[in-house]
Amino acid sequence: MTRPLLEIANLNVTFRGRRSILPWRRGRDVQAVQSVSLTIGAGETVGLVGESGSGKSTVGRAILHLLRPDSGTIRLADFDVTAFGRREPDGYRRAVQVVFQDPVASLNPAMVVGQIVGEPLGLHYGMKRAAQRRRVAELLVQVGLQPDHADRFPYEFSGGQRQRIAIARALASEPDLIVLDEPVSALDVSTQSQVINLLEDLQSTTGAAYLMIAHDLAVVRHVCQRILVMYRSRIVEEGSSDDVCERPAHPYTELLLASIPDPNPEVQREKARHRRELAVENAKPVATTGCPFAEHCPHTMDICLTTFPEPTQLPWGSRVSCHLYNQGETRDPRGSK
Amino acid sequence: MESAQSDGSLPPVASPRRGSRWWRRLRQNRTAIAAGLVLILIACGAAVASWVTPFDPNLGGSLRDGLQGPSQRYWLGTDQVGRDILTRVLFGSRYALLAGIQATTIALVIGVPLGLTMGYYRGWVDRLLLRFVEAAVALPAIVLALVIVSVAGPGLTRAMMAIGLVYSMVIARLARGLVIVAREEVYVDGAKTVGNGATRIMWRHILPNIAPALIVQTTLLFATAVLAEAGLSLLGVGASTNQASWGRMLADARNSLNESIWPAIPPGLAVFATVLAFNTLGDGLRDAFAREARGGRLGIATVTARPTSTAPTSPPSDPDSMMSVRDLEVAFPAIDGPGDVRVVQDFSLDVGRGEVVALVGESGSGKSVAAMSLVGLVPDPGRATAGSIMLDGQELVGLDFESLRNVRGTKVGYVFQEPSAALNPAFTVGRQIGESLREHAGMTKSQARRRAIELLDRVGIPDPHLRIDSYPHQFSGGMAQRVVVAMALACSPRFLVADEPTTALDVTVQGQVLDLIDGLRREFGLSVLLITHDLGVVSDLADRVAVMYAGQIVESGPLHEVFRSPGHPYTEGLLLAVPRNVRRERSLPTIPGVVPPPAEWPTGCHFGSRCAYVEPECHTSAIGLTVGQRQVRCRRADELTLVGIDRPTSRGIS
Repeated sequence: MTRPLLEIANLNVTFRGRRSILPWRRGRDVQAVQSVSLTIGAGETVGLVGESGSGKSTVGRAILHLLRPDSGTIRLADFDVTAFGRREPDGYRRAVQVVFQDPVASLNPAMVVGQIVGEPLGLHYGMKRAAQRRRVAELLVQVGLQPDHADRFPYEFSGGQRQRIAIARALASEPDLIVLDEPVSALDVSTQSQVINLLEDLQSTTGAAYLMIAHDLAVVRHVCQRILVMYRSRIVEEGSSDDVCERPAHPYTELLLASIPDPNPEVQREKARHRRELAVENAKPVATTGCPFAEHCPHTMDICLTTFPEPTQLPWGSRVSCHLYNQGETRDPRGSK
Repeated sequence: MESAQSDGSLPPVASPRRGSRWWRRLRQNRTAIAAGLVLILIACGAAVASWVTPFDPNLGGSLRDGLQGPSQRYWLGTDQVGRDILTRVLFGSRYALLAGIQATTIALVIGVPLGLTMGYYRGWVDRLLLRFVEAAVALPAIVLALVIVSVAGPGLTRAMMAIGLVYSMVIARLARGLVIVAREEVYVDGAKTVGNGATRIMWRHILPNIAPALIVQTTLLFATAVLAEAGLSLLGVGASTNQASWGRMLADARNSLNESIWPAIPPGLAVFATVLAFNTLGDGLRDAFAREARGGRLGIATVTARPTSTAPTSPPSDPDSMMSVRDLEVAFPAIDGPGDVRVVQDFSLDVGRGEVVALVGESGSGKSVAAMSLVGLVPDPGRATAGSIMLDGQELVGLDFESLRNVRGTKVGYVFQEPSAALNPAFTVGRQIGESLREHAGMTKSQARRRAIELLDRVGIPDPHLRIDSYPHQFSGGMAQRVVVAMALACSPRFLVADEPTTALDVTVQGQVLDLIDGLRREFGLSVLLITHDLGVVSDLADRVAVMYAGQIVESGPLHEVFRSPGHPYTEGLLLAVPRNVRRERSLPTIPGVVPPPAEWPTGCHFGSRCAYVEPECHTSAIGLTVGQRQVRCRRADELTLVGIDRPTSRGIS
């Protein structure tokens, strides 16, 4: 078996609280990511799903070397990201790229599109002006824009078009992996589907792998082959997209799926009923070492309050971190409902 | 609003450039332009001084010519030793500008790199340098200049170098502060990930974005440098006796003050005019650079009656409805050029009692503007006109501001997208809920508090008697939105406007807020106008739905009918384009292109340029809405059979 393109093992990231010599003014440290492991094969699309504050974007930023993890390893192709010093090797910056959520903030307002998209060409391939211009024109056409857009400033474009510019920049260095951090959640419905299709088309021509970080499980299911579900700094479930969405094993995944409203009123009435059944509040205090979902879980047991479970492999291939599956028996979530 | 051409087809005209935007704003500022002209005049005077005057600035005539008043020969008179004052004022502008250029150049050359480095790297280097900078800024520049001059000997350049050194600390501190903010911007992360090093990020990415503020500060420092030159030369440590600077002239005038005050007046006025001009220009630049700082404010315009002659024919408003609006139009003055841009057109809608009506549309469709304008909350320069707006049997069109305010306070509640924006962080939630109770319901403080606790309890906040004294930041997003709902319910309104009430919330919290609104509707018979772009939220809560596209309602009717068998191609496109939680079969169907900006909306069908079923006739004239329970704004509504929610993957539209 060939080595996967990206391997993350046991990643931990802590955000330090505010430093102060006065002990009562010190901020608390926040564990943003705990023992996260994931792999992405070449050309694969993997989804990382979770709510705001779950740590999903932090994982992406660690891969991009925009922050420094406390422990764990990140290996991409032949690069050991966690061993980098302050400045990473140029080859690494070529190999992994990013598209951020906010297409307004992620493009430098003082540069024209040609400079934005052409910059990586100059940095990584030493391309001169004229060569850059030609390649930028090709890239713009590739993402559905026009060559003469190169002379315009980002503010002259709509949200969807700006996201296309960000994608063109990400493609410029011909990366092996593109981190898509909520790439469509700021876009309108009709633009969203255009950008999703564009990303899929580009993947079939460039062969780049995608890590798609998003909160919308329906979008992620449509785009990704595998999904990892994160809840408050930990991965609670992972599996193929269809498995995770059709037979969710973790109670949190089940709640998440029930919470996505469906445009079909009949389907939605049924989902809303299910959602209300699942919504519970447990008053018992949960230790920091316990399962973070125990507060809201309909199945909370005593062990959940103190110990976070090791991942269990399920017969259909998903892996879940839940004590319901650590008892030797296998609970079929759909059947037990 | 200035962006967005349709994909692939660009308008042939060149669009406005970034530069021209602030230049246009600067041009509108007459005082700044006048100041700029004054400065150009001074610079010209400095440049041509040697050619336009027949006199030497430093050689006096005979003593007989001393201290003359203005005359044919000496336009501004002469000083003590008979030198022409006009000549000396003209030459003096050279020294003033030279002094300013010397001081600001030194300030920028030292201050900008220092500030960039400190702000970008932070850490101990920053902390150490910052102490030094703060100490240097605390010294009066003139005193430092005096010290340096007393050590190194007098001279204009030496004095200005000292001044420039102090100014460089001002620039460094400003640049540092700006960089600290700018380095957190997402585009800086983007620049890092494409492989830029720290130096390139500082100089190529951050500096151009903070340059406007630095330019403004430099302009203002230039003015104080001119003042400093005058002050130092007056004290005799700046310009030497054979340099005709304004400060020197003032020093000379001081010597003959007992005989005549006149020689002091022209150089004094020159200093005054120059400094005033620089300061005015600096303020003008600051205003011009402040991007869109004045937009986004909610105005207080009332809704005026629409002249009946121009109103399209539509049925009279429904007296049994909670809210019934006819022919609402909202227009804004065009950004460039004369005339108005109509962002909401031909808008008629009924919300029955106890009914939830969803207004669905993409950003820029005009859905929020329409809903806010119903009760006279028209975004600033806009104007709203309507045939009729009936709210609970009361006609709102033509009401004065005070009456509208009362209607807003007592009959309508609002819930907005961002709970954090709707709550004032400085006050406890109890005080904020109580405020409108005391204002509109005339309750006493303790009555209002009791009622606020009831309300918090009703919206599902645990321990309401304790939480009432909490501040907004002490609530999570979902809980804060419940507080906003409680606030909206304070005066027992009959009508609730919920503008994207769950968009900023996590999906597992969204359901709780939707259930809360649904429960309130059932309990109090509340009528709700729900504004959203999320078709799933619509199907969870709404009884009826109105779909908006480019300023118009294109379709409305009962939820099940509209979603199952849409009548307008845009509705079909929206329903198909939403990814649903189903096994993937193929790529998502899309609606090609983008929503055109309001100034480019055609008279014919607004959706025509993106529609798969378009015919040439669709473009020729305005399309009306059909009348009845199901309303559709499409010429071909009767002949088309469109795909709805039941068969999401059977057919695409592109």
